[in-house]
Amino acid sequence: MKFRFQRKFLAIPYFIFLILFIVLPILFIIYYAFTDSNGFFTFDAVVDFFTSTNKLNVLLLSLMFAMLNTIICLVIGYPIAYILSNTKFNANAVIVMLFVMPMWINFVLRTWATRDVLTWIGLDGGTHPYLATMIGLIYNYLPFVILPLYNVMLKLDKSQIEAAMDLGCNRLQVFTKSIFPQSIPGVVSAAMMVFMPTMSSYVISDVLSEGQVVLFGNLIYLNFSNSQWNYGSFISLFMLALVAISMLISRNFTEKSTTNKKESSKW
Amino acid sequence: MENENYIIELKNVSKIFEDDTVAVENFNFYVKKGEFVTFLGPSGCGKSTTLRMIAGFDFPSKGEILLNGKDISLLPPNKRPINMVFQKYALFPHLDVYENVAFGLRLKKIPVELKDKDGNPVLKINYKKIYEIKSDIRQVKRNKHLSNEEKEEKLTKLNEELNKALVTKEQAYTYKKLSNREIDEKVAKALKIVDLDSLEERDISTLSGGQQQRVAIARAIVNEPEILLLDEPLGALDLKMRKDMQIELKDMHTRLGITFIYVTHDQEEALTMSDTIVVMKDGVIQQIGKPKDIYDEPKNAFVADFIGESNIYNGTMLKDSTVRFLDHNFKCVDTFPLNEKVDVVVRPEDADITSVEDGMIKGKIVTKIFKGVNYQYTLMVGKNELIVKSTKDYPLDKEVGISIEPDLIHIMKKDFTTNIYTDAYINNKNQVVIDDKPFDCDITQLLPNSKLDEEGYLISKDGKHKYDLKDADVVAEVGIEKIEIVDDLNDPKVQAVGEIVDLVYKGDHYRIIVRTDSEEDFVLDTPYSYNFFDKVGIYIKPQDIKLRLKKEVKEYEI
Ligand SMILES: Nc1ncnc2c1ncn2[C@@H]1O[C@H](COP(=O)(O)OP(=O)(O)OP(=O)(O)O)[C@@H](O)[C@H]1O
Ligand SMILES: [Mg+2]
Repeated sequence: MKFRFQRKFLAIPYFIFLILFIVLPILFIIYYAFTDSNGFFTFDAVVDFFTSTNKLNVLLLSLMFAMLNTIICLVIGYPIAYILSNTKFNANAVIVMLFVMPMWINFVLRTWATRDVLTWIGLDGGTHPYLATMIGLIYNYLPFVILPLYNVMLKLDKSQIEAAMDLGCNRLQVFTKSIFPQSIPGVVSAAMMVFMPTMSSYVISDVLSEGQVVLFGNLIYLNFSNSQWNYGSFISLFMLALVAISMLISRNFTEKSTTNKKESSKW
Repeated sequence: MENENYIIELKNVSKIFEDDTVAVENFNFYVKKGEFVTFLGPSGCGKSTTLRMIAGFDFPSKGEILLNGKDISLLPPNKRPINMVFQKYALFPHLDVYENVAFGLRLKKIPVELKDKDGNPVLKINYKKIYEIKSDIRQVKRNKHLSNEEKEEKLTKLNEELNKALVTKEQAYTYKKLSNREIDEKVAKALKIVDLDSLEERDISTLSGGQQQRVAIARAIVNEPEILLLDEPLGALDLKMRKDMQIELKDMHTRLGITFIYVTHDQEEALTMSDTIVVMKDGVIQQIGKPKDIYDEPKNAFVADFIGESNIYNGTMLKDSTVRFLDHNFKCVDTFPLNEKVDVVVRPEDADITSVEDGMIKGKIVTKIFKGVNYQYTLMVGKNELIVKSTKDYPLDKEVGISIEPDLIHIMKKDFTTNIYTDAYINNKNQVVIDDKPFDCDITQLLPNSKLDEEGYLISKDGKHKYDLKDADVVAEVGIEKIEIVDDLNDPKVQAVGEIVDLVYKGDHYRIIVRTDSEEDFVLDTPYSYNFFDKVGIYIKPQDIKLRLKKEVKEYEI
């Protein structure tokens, strides 16, 4: 039989990639999460996680850090993005580049540098582990907030601001009724870019707090590096579930604020 | 003169932007209640700027804007009973059609008179008003375009108001929002007016351009503004849609009874829709009038050229009611001084084609285009072109006669005959510097019968006096017919380079304005045709530059 090329063959490499690097690893994690060291099925890891105050504390702390980091980054990044989107202050987008440039430097390098700077100004991880970690996280994730917000705000039409004023808005109302609602998609995607990665980050907290602050990412790392494969796998699985949930929430959010009810069937 | 019929008045309004662009210059005009007024002019002439000043997005640098007799020049847009329809609609993409239209209503606060228990009005000092007057005072103080006297006058007036407001108790108000039901009713009514009642819940991005335009109009009229401003609202629509919307807008205007101020650069649109047209050019009003008056009696060659097709010629007044152009003496109805150079405008439909014997002049048909109801002919009369519209069919190349009724010959004072440069000066090579460019000239004309010595000093007739004219300030004049255009910018002859920014055909030549980078204009006539924005060189013969010293020549004696 003669071989006939079909368009769907093009999908094969992607399919293989998907299986090898996404589906298989997840299956492995699920397998390890629910077996013991001898390979027998067990809920040990589940029970251990939910009964260990230590581990639950780490979860709580991570959630706190992630939430705080997201909020602070948004509070700092939003005005910056708004100002930068005004071409008067940001001719040729040069200043945006300044804010985004650190993203091109490997973040491990950056984190060590941050640690040196913090130590130099007296905020070393030994004495101020939480503050140092927080500063490091904000510094690291700020560009991820500025970029999506900046992109959304670039698209805002200046005449819409005038239209809002024309229809009776004062300066504050122009922001609350026109600018902010339109930038919500940017806010959501910025929050997504910060919240989950913060929870699972471990280099930043590890380096800056000198090992004193353990976040969710550290926990997974510690388990795996101590050959606690089963416990580590379950925590990873839990993390994965959190990611999925937050994606669902954020999708609902953007959908409500930007697209029409009738259009939502597209999703 | 106050007139209660005037809803809005602009008095000596000028707008100068930070970069010193003069967008609007000394605007004076008024709009009657319920009128449909159109600003008409080419791109960049300041139409939008004027509209934005009425809306409150820009504040005038000079002059004042009165709404119902009250100065609103410095009032922010949200405090004006005026709404605008934007050129690109500027709808809110995060809201559906209903919410877009309801936007203004949701912000609206209806004042309710405050009464005490016994039903007597409550009187209070109006602190809001005091605050507003104070902010006006600050604005006036900061305005650097006002002269000291103007400032003084305004400040005295504002201070008077302030002192009065500080001591007078006024009726106090509380404010209440519109109820959902009221909003519902108003939105439904507005959407019905623009024919969109079935699309309430649609997302803005799913609407066609025409529908978006209607939403924009509904969003403005739902607030029941006293004035509706429309900045080229139909610019983005296709021709068919535009024609339909023109009729609908006009209809809406009649039904709503709101004053419409409309901006367009389409003369046909202006002629069909407006009660009054304001023709503008370079920030200056050229003519204000009813469409018919502007069409029939254009005030100058620019208006004639901009409003409809016209034949424009150079003419000379011979005696009262006789004007000479196209090598013929025509009877006319206007009176101008004897020998005055004038512009003569003849509309294509006003010239009649006759037999050669019956015509006042003769011409030959060189082109012919059928335009549906009539033919448009181009005739050569001597070396001039004449465009004529006629319903009769004539063959090409036919010799015909042409006659024009006296009252259809429109005669206008010539707008321009010489270029005058008032801040020119003489440099050390005895050249005159106009617009930073040196032009060779004859400086001996500054002193009769004088001559130059070897060192370049001016020597008087009797040889006794010697003058050094370096840096002397002069006024230079160059007749428009004396400036030559040089096409090759590398030609050593070229003295200045500029861009063609204006171009009007005048029968046998073009009137062109060449603007240099530093914004100096050279107005000239040329038989050759050029395009807008062509870069060209300028050359003026030394003997064609007329010079006049600003100070006495004595001042420069050495
Ligand atoms: N913010 C600004 N700063 C400086 N110059 C400006 C500003 N806005 C407008 N101008 C200038 O003022 C002049 C008039 O502009 P305006 O927008 O009123 O023109 P327009 O008649 O509406 O033209 P169009 O038909 O192209 O819309 C132009 O030369 C323009 O470049
Ligand atoms: Mg405009």
